[in-house]
Parts: sequence; structure tokens; C-alpha cells
Amino acid sequence: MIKRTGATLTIELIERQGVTQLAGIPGGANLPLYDALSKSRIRHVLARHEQGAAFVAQGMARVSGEPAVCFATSGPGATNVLTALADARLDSIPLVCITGQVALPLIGTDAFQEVDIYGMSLPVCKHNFLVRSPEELLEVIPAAFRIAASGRPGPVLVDIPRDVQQAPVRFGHWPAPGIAEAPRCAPAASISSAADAIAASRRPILYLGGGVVHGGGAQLARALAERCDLPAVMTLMALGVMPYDHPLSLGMLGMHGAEATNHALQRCDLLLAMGARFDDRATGKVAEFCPRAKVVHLDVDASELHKIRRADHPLCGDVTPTLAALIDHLAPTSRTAWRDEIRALRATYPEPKRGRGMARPEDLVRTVGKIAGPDAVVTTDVGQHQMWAAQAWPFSRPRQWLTSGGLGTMGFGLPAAIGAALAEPDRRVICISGDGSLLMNIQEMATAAELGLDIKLVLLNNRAMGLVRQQQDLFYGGNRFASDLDAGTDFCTVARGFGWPVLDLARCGFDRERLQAELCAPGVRFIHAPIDGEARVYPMVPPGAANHHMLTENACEA
Amino acid sequence: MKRESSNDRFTVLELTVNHHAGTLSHVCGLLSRRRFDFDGIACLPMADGRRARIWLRVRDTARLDHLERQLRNLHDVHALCRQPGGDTVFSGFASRLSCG
Repeated sequence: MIKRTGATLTIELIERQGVTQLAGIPGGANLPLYDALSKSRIRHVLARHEQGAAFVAQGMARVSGEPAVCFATSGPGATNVLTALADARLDSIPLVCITGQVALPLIGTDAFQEVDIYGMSLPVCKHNFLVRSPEELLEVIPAAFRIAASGRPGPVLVDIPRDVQQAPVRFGHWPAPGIAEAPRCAPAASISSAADAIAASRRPILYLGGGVVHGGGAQLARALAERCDLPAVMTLMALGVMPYDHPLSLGMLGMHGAEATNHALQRCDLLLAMGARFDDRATGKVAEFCPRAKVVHLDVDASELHKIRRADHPLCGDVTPTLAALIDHLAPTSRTAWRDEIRALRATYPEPKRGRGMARPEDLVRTVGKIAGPDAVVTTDVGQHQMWAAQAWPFSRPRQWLTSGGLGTMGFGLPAAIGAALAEPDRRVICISGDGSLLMNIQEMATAAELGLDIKLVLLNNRAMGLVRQQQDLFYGGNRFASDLDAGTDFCTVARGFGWPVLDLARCGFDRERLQAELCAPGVRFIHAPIDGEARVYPMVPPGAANHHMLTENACEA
Repeated sequence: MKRESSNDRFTVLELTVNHHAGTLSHVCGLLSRRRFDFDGIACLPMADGRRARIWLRVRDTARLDHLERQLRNLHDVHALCRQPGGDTVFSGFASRLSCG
């Protein structure tokens, strides 16, 4: 018989899953786990806030596609991870979060640092467990990894009471590690029906979502586009599936998509939604989204089909085998007339002229992206800087772009960058952030400096929550309220205090060579970029409006 | 729960689930956060003690298919069917209510 405690069993089961590093913070209720962790081969990354720890794990999972692990103690430790779990749920990121809980006899007594994290995490997790005996761990831990990784990925929470961690357990053999269930192809009849619809279509558009990235289907999505001459739009989560300069790429759709892209969608007669969930930021007013189009909808999650838009050709299956089968059904096609029509739309609605220098924030982001190169990973926080990055970064591959899409969590960027740098230490990681967002998890600058990671934090500082202020300007009669952050925070001094070398672009005249030198230097670097506080993100679809009713720079700033 | 009107049509969904305290939370939490109205719920453990059966009396609306797909996504739900024979499970409860 094998003898362990609940804590040592948990750690060994995590080791057997192939996990080599995890992030977390210890506390009273998970100290037995930490004691066991200290004796394992797993590298522990000590975050400075549990939300940071869970976003570090997200960064690992987003670049690798594999479930990543975070630890938190009971009570406030557990409640602190909830935002990051909700974020992982909406963006379909595989996480296993293990929380300590007060001992079983104390549950329900309002004990010190007791909260019902099982109940609290129900609506934001793919699944969750409250472990009631150490024997259950043999089933629960592999199941947590299997559920997190299978089908549509997502976060799983495992709450382990302190006495369960300390209790002895005897068992005969180790369970097999939990692995993702085998991908399943959509039914052949539905694939055949979708293929017929594509062949008959004159104005099709491929609408790619994050599911294409999660399902490892980016290459096949490109192959489908090229075989059938399908113009492709991407959601925020799918950026990188089609390289930014691919002739069939129409870039991002939706609220901050290019004008020509949204107008092309108005004209399409067949919308091929692949791993996309018709999110309101992508569709605008649903009733007016692609009004003339039949819909082919491929999703691994059956509950996404018909949820927002009824699919004429639903395909329930994993993206990779289903796309491969779909391609096999389709002959090479050329759609010259449709491409000409889109070219004309692009001439009618040209993208704003690009500046040569870095005067505009989007030009600065593009310059950073070009210097960083295609191998770099880019993370963002949430706000104007995120949308400028989505519009201007030269994306070239999936899993290059880590951003909080569904939940839109300010504070995501820096800890996610730490996770990405830990998981892929040979890649340079760039975090594009804003002053409002950075302040929401700024404590993780200590974590990054301590680890000596190759992270460049580029702070676009407009001394405001810019996207909030933009909406107040555009939709609330210019009533700017509670959106200014003009407290005179000296971010360069703060960064130095955390041990980050600093380049202030304002003090070197936004010199490109200095920027390049800093981006290419090893270790952590903080690059401060004060930007025009009046700069806005365009185009913009007003919330609730149809996508073809875009506010443009020419119209609003004239 | 929503006030019943004479025009409402109901269906009973029968779920076979893991028998532990959290399962009801999963099912009820789904109903509330996804805006599915339900009219009644009953639950009993099955003979093996590991599984339980839940009956949900829900409005038969256009969203019923979507509710079924969402319920099937729950990892504690092993099987789901529309109960043949209507809402016999709930008729006993209803008669107790009418007895006052």
C-alpha cells in the first residue's frame, strides 16, 4: 500500500500531471499543501496577490494551451482569485485552482477565514469540487485536469479542507493523470451540409473566434480560407490566427473593428463562425448583424449553438477534426468578384493614415510590435491601449496575443506576462498597459523583478481611464466624472522602487533607437510613454448600435 | 420562480445527477444566472446512494432546448430527458397545496 497525507498526495498528483511550476500565496488553511510543495520538484512562484497568482497561471495556460495551476488559502485568499477564475471562464482558459479551506468540522461555523468558495465559484467555474476525504483526491485531482482541458477549456476549483490535507491516506496504485478527452468531429451529415452551403455562397466570410486558437485549428482555418478564397475576420480572442498581412485577413470585427470589415459583414451571404460565440462586442446589435447571411456555426460547446443567432448549419465538434473534414469536402474556389467588392469597400472606408513616428499611441504600439518581432508574446490590460494594440500590433501566429476578452479585467496584463515568461522563457514578453490598469495589479512588479524575467512593460500613460472617459465624452455629453487619474503618480519612480530599470520616452523625445535598445535588453524593463489624454480609439460602434453605425475619427474630431 | 399564468405550458425535465450537496447548487445556479424560469423542483437519492434524480418543472418555451444543452454541460449531470407522461412527480405536491 502507498501511504501519504492528503497534502502530499495532492502535490504528487499535480506532479504526475506534468506540472513543473505553479503560482500562489500560502496562508493558514493551505499550509499543509505548501509544506508538501516545498519538498516537491514543482517550482513555486510567489505572487503578491492571489488575483495576480491566478493571472500568472492564466499566462502560462494561454501560451501553452495546457492547464496551469494556482494556489490560494481560504477566505480572502480564495475570494481574491474569483475575478481571475471568471476571466478564465469567459475566455475558455484551462486552470486548476486549489484553495485551502477550514477544517471540515468548522465548515458552516463562520470560522476564521471561512468562506463558501465552492458556492461562490459555482457561476464562474467550469466545475468545482469540495473534497471531503483524502481518498477523494485520487479521483478529484485527475478529474480537475481532465475537465479543465477537455472540449471547451475552462477553470476548475478544488477546495480542500485543512484536516483533509493533514489526514493519512492509503491506496493501492496511482490513478492515471487526467488528460483532455479525444477531439470529436462534427457529424458527417452536418459537415456535408455546411460544405454545400460554402460551395453555393457568393459572399462568404469566415468569422474566427478564440475557439480556433484553443482547439489548435489556426493552420486549418488558414487552409480553409485559402482553399475557398474566404475573407476572414477575427474576434479579439482570435487575433493571430490569420497573420495581419495575409491577403484574406480583414482584421478584427466589431466595436473597434475596421470600417470596411464591418461593412463587408453587412453584405455577406454566408457567415462561417468557427469557435466564436457571437459576443456583443463582436456583433453589435445582433438583429442587424450580417442580416443577409445564412450561418454555419462550428463550436465544441453545444450550448453555444443557437444561443445568440440561430445557425442554419450547426456543427458541434472540435475545431481541428471538423475543419479537416470540411476542407476535404471542398474544392478549391476563387471568388474574384467578392474580393473586388471588398477591395472597393476598403477604398471607400480606408484605415486611418499611419504616422511615421510614435506621436499617436497606435503608432507607438505598432513600432513596439515591429521591434519585438513575430516571436514575442504580447499581453495587454484593458482599455484604450488594449484596443490600439488589437488594431496595430503586427500579429503573426496564434497564442502570441494574451488579452482579457470576455471579462475585460483591468490588471490582467502584468501577471499574465509573468506567466507567459515563465512558460516560454525563450520568448520576449511585452506587456502593453495603461496607467489605470497597471495600478490594479502593480504589486506583481515585485514578482517579475524577483524572478528576473524577460518582460518589457510599456505603459501608455494618459492619466485617466481613457476608454471610460471616451464613452463619457461621446455618449454622456462630455460629463467626465470619476475617470481622471491625475494624481501626479510618478510611475518611473514607482518602477525603480520595484527594481525595474526605466526608460521614460518623454525624456528622450520618443527616440526609436533608445526604445529598441530597451526592448532588446535582457530582464525586466519599464518603458514610460506619456500619451495625449485626448486621444481616442476609432472607429467605435456605440454600445447597443449596429456595427455599420460606426463613429469615426473624421466625423467626431472634425 | 415566476408567477404562473393560465397560458403557460410546462415540461418536466428528469436529470440523473451525482448525489452530493453541491449538485442542487449547480442546477439552481444555472437556472438563475441564465434567466431560466422554473416552476418546481424535486430531488431524491437513487438506490445506489451515489446518484440522485432531479425533476424540474419548467416552462415549455423556445428556450427549452437551450436550457437542456446548458444542463447537459454540467459535470454532475449524467443524463437528461423530458419526462414521458408529464408532471406526475409534481401532481402529488400540487394536491397537498390545494388541501391547504
